[in-house]
Amino acid sequence: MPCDGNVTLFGRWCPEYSNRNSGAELTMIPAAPVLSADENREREFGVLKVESIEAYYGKLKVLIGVSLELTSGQLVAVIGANGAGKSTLLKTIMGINQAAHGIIEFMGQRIEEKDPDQITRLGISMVPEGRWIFSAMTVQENLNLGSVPLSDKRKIKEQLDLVYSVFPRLKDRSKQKAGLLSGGEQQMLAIGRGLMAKPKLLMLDEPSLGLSPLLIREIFRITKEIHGNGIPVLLIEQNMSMSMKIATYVYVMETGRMRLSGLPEKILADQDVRQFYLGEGKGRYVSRKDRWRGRMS
Amino acid sequence: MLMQQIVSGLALGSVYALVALGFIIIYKATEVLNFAQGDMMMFCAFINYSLLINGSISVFSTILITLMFGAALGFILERGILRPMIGRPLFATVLVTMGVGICLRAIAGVIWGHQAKAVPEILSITPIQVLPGVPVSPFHLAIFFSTIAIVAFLSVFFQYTRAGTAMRAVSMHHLASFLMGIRVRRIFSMTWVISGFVGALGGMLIAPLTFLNPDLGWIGLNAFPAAVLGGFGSIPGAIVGGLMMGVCENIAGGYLPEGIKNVFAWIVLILVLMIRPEGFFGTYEEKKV
Repeated sequence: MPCDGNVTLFGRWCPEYSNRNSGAELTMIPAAPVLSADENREREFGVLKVESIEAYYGKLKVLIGVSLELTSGQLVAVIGANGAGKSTLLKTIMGINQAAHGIIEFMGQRIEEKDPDQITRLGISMVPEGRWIFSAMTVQENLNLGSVPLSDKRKIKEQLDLVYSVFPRLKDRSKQKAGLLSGGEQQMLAIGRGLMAKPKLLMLDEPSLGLSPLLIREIFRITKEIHGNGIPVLLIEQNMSMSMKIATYVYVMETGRMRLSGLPEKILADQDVRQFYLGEGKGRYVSRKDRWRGRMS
Repeated sequence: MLMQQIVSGLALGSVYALVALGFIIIYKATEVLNFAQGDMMMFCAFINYSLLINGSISVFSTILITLMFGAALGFILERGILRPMIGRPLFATVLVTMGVGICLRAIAGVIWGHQAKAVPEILSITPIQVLPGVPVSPFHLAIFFSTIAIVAFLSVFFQYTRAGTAMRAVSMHHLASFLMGIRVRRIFSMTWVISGFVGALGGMLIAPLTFLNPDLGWIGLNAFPAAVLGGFGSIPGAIVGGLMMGVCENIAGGYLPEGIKNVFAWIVLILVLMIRPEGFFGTYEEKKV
């Protein structure tokens, strides 16, 4: 560790970096940060690289040559309509689905042949759609299960304290059965459980699904906070307008293909995207009767 | 008379409970009904018998070796036969366990023959007066208390250790457990090891109560109705169901016509499944996929 400041959610807080404008900065040149082996790999290879993968459900091709790249410090959002293959993409990265072709690299290591548990232990945490919390267990036990990849007891305790500081509501309910939590709390538990592993990449699959607008906002705020603390995030969302606000890079998926990618501003400028996903632009009203006749009004 | 039957029924029921426990542990984690459970128990009982007859090592180490053997047997079966079956249809896996059971029975028959054998007594089976009016043999007591001990040990293990919590997680949701980074296949192995261990204990305890021959595996199958009675999939249910089944069977043997005793457990199985399929403690834990 280059310095020992306070422990924050995802590492140590280093006063000499954050107080850029303080007087001390002028006289003291901060030492170059000592990178750990992981950080070196991250710098060299990027975090996640997906290269033209294909995946099938039975005979149905659901991913057609999908590529995606995520470097450190990014919050990448993959958006698209229902059935575009977003969730399948995540599951394929995670090893739940098998990729028929293509390469998946995590920090320079090929992972497309690995099992989900191995991939989790390598440092990818996935928060699945539908949360998959262990509803018959307490909140505390759920979080403990999230820390399976960590072996050091002190680290686990540290991580638990940090997760509780992000989600104070979970701390109040730590002894309660997870199945008794509300939908929003369950989503928070699922995210907190994902963070317990001290992931090097967090993948969220539709975290806003089925939540009230207020909670959706809260979830997005937390996602942004996690990203702000230095964890790269891969976010799968249908809620385009919210994702655009927090993402640093956006991919748009359509029927198994990557259709567009770019900075959020660029995506937002795209005419089709505005029309299809944000419901803007000149929509033409076609009456049903006329459609039947095959005529446009 | 009735008291006596209840007491010896509890002892027999403890063994059922142990075998049922073995069933349930594997079933909850892997969803496989292990029909070889009774035969694993029988095989371990034979190992125990051989070691006792041989007599060159102390009784204590005999027990220890038998337990170790049971655990190893579970491990080998899982690694060699069940693990390659992961991902195949469930019924195929269940049929494979059935085949394994029959093979174990045949192997035991080849090695030890089919004549019934009397197992040397470790503890006296002759009843002594423990409480006034209730004669209990030390061996029955030992059965009862070792069952309670192992059940208490396992509950603590499942509730409070990291491995135990991981096992419970696997029993609730396989994929989510994978996503936690739990080595699910290793958990499968562990459940078979524990089942083998519990089965070995059951085998050692039941063999002196009956005669030992390769068909002892059928008696092990009686644990199946016991587990259903308690509520299939519930560990406390397996214990209570096992104990009740033992008592009921003994009482049925005492008061009902000859022959009913052997099928009594299966009559109960049919009745329970028709009237109250969730048993005493059954809960339907919904699996969300």
